[in-house]
Amino acid sequence: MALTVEQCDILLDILGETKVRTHTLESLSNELHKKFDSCDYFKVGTCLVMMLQQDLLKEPEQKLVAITLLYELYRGEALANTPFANVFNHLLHPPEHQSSVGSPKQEYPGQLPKLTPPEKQFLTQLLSDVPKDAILKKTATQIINSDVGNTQTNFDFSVVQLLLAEKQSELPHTCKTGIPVVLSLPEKTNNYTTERNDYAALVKTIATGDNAPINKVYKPEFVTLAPPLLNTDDEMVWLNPTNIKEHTVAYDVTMCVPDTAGQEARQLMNKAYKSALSLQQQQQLLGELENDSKLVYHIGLTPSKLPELVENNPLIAIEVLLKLMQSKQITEYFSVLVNMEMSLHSMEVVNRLTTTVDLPTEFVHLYISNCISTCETIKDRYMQNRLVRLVCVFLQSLIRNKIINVQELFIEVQAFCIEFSRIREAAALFRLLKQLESGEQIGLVSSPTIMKAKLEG
Amino acid sequence: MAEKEEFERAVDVVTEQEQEYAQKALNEFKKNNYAGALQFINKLDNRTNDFKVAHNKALVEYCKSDFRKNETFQKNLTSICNQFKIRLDKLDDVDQCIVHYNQAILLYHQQQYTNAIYIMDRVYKFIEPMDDALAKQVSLFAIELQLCVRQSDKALSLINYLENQLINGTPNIKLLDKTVKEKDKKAPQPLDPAMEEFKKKLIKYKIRCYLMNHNLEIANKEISNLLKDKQNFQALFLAANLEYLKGNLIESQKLLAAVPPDYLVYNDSGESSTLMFYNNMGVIHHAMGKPNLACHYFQLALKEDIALTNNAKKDKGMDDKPLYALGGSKYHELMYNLGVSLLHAKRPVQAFDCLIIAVRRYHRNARLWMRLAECCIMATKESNEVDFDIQKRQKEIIVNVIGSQDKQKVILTTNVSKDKKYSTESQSYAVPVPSLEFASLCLRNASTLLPSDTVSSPIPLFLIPGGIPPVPSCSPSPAPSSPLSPESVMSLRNSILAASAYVALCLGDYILALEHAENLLQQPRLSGAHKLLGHLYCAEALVLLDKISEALEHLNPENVKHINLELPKGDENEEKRIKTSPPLKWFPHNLPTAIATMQYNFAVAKTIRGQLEDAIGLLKQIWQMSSKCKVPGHIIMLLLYIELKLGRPEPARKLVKQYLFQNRRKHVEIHHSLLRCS
Repeated sequence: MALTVEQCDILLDILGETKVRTHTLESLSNELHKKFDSCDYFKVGTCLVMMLQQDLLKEPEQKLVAITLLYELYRGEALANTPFANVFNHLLHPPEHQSSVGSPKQEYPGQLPKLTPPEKQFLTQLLSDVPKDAILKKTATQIINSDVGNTQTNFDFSVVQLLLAEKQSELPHTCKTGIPVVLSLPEKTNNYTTERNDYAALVKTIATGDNAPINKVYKPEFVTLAPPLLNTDDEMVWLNPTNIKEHTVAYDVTMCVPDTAGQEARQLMNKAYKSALSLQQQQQLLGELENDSKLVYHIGLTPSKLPELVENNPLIAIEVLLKLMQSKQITEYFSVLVNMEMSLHSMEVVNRLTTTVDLPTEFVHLYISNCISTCETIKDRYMQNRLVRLVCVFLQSLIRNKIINVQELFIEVQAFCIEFSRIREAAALFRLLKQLESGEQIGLVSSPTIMKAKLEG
Repeated sequence: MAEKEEFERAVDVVTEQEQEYAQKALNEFKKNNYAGALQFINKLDNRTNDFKVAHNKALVEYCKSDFRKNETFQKNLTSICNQFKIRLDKLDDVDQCIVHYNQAILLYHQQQYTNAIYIMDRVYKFIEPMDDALAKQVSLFAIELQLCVRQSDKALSLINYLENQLINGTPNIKLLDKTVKEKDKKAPQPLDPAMEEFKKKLIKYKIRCYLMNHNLEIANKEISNLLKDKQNFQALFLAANLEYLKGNLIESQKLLAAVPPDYLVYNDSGESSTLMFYNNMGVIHHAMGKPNLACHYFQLALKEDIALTNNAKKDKGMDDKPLYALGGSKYHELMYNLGVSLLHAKRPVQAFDCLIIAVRRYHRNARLWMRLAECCIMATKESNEVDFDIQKRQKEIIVNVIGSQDKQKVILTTNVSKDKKYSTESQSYAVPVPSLEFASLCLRNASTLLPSDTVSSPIPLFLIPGGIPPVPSCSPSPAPSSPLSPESVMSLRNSILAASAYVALCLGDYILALEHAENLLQQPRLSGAHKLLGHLYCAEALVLLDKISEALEHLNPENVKHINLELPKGDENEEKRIKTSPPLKWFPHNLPTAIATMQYNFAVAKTIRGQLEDAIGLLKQIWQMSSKCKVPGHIIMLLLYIELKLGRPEPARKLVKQYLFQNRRKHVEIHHSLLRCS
């Protein structure tokens, strides 16, 4: 982002002490445009400004040429849009003049040289809309020595100033705080043999290279404290013996050991999936299950076989599920039960379970929801009536036995009752809901057998 | 379906001859005579449809190889599963449990705990129908796995269930029907020696759980029971662990020293007591606040670990390691310990190298990511003290002097502190080097992995058709460390927020910085230091966002009352039980220094707003504090800046000359210039 040494040499050559005296401003400007690409104009401009700020242009002609070139870099563009518009503003209206405080001489960071009246007039002409061919045909020396007097051009700079101020106000404060890092620190000495060469070298040190000071600013800095290390307990890993050797592979001791124990129970179960067992068979199976609490795991029942068992032998299903309550697999059985097709038998099983053990509420709710949606979607009118009556009696039983908290399902159940209000049981359930709402006492507990009798009767 | 039943029936038919062979094979197996067992199993070869035979054959062959042919065994198990259509992600027959269990065992010894747990969760569902011996083996294994992933609560619930189910025989299901309950209750069985042994094992697991979840009182009781047996060296380790957690570091050291060095030899047991000794000594010294000594011990432990794992490979000139030595290496855990100690020893770059290895294995650990970020931060700024070293800072004010005589120029610094790095490089942040860019990624990981405030909701029942729950993703946990207490989570969250705000500020992302800092200030419990930082970070970010008035409010010295590093006590005035954190130091050490920092930043904000005279007044106040406490070194540069801005280059030049050419009378001079300015 800075000029190369070669580019800097070219620029210094254009600003050469003798050259600025002999060449017209126009020819110098043309040379500049010829030797630099437009992408480098900004760099050239910053370098020119720096030379003006740091007083590195010895002769007044050089200064004038530098100012002219700065303008010429962006000739043809609206002044307020060019990057160095503010420099011209400062040249014409130095800050001291704005704050007319009569205090000791003030000098601001990046201060620009003060212009003489002819220079000022020249700059005003340059910035104004009048044709500039005439003044650019002159040399810098001619302009400096020109007479101010009669040709007063009154260029109204206030429009540009306003635009600039507007732009500035959009910037956050932090963007406007930077000051150049180059600070002049004159040495008091009697030796006045400063050579021109020094200037060039100085300009190059400041304005060229990757790390050029010209591109740097100092802004007021915050102190940003780094946070303390995390203070925490029991972080380090303590090692205790773990006897990893104890965890080793296992031999299947049941190899070729015939599973005689549950042979008969197993066969009965196989039958039970397909058809209803006789009362005697039922008693035999339940008796065997009762005698050996672990037998239930060895009768070949899996969650996928449960629906068949429920449909054909609900009583067996209930007993088996009760025995499996403590098993880790029970949720899988529940999952199957809740998702199987709704029927009198499945409802009977669920009803029995709710009165015997604590079922997860999530399960009961899901089952009720499934029942309701089955009723709503079924096509066969006769079957629908039958199912609705079933569900209503089932729900009444659940509510009366306080298995479910009706508040949690209130909206769903109420909608169901209203939809099927033509059915007597639904109307009865609705009344029960209303009673509950008004906090009335609920009547007798209806037992599952009554429910069954009611339905089949 | 029918076909399957036919098939099952065929398997069910077992001749007496076959039964005899099977019995003999079992007897030989029990005597560890694997060759003999294999002979009998081979006689059952005609039972090609019996997967139990195939399984046992593969197993005995593996045992015969001295548990070394791991890969062959693994392959055989897989092919048996394929042949008999046993799917590892599904289990619905108790007979298949053993294949699954053995697969899980192999995974466990390869340290693939999550996969092993996934299998064992399914096996465990069949714990009731399993025969007693296998059930015990399976339960202990399930407990060990939960401990491996530091889920002490899950482990404890398994233990509870075991105690109820296998030992007392009472079901722990709540039955509404009282009669059923009484029927199921059995008379307590007389304890046989095997049961006694099993109970002892359970107690050890229990103690490990209690130590892990910091239930020290119960742990204490159980350990003192175990310690009655003087030869119980495992109990000594546990006792030392307990004393360490209580903060009795010397006592802990004594207990450790009482364990004979050759108690556990790696080649016999897959564990080395020497390694454990070194590691635990390191842990103790770290807690004592001697991180360098701790590092030394961890390095010894690492050397031991590397030697052991290499030896086990070369042992007996075989390529395969025995099963129990497959995953015995504690490399990643040791790297974690070493890394944290190095960080405390202020060697952040080395610490980073260690932790970056540990994080490969423990990438779900929020605190570990936080530690990595701390390494990055410390590597870029060793301590805040540098910002308060006026002598050093003033030397850095002038970068260069060029030209001479009346054209002499000085080049001032662009920034006094080197924290800020507004990177324009296109390099990815994800390069694992100790940089602030990488720190920002670490911190994002850390906050993502941080456990949420709400206690994790109970796992819902799976009542969805289709049955199989999805593979559990391995949950974020502080493994390899013990689970985090709610308080630790809180202080971890605060630290992550503070570090995130700091890193975002340094990288120039002040919108994010403000978000983190404000979030930090909203936390319910905040240490004094974090409160100070929250206000400082907020203010800086707000100034950069051009909201200077809001920033000034944050810089009110009334906002900070103390700069303690600990969380303030919670509502329950409970005594802190665990005392293992090393003594921590942070700069600023005292409140006045913290206040001076706030005041300085206040002056900066004023300066930026153009209230230069106010700012000088503040600088004067801060300077007067410098006799009592440390003040930021930036103060001189700010003074220089204000002088220049006020259009008074002469005092500024004077300041520069002072620091450039004569460093001696600096205090007096600054003092004068400050007094004069105001």
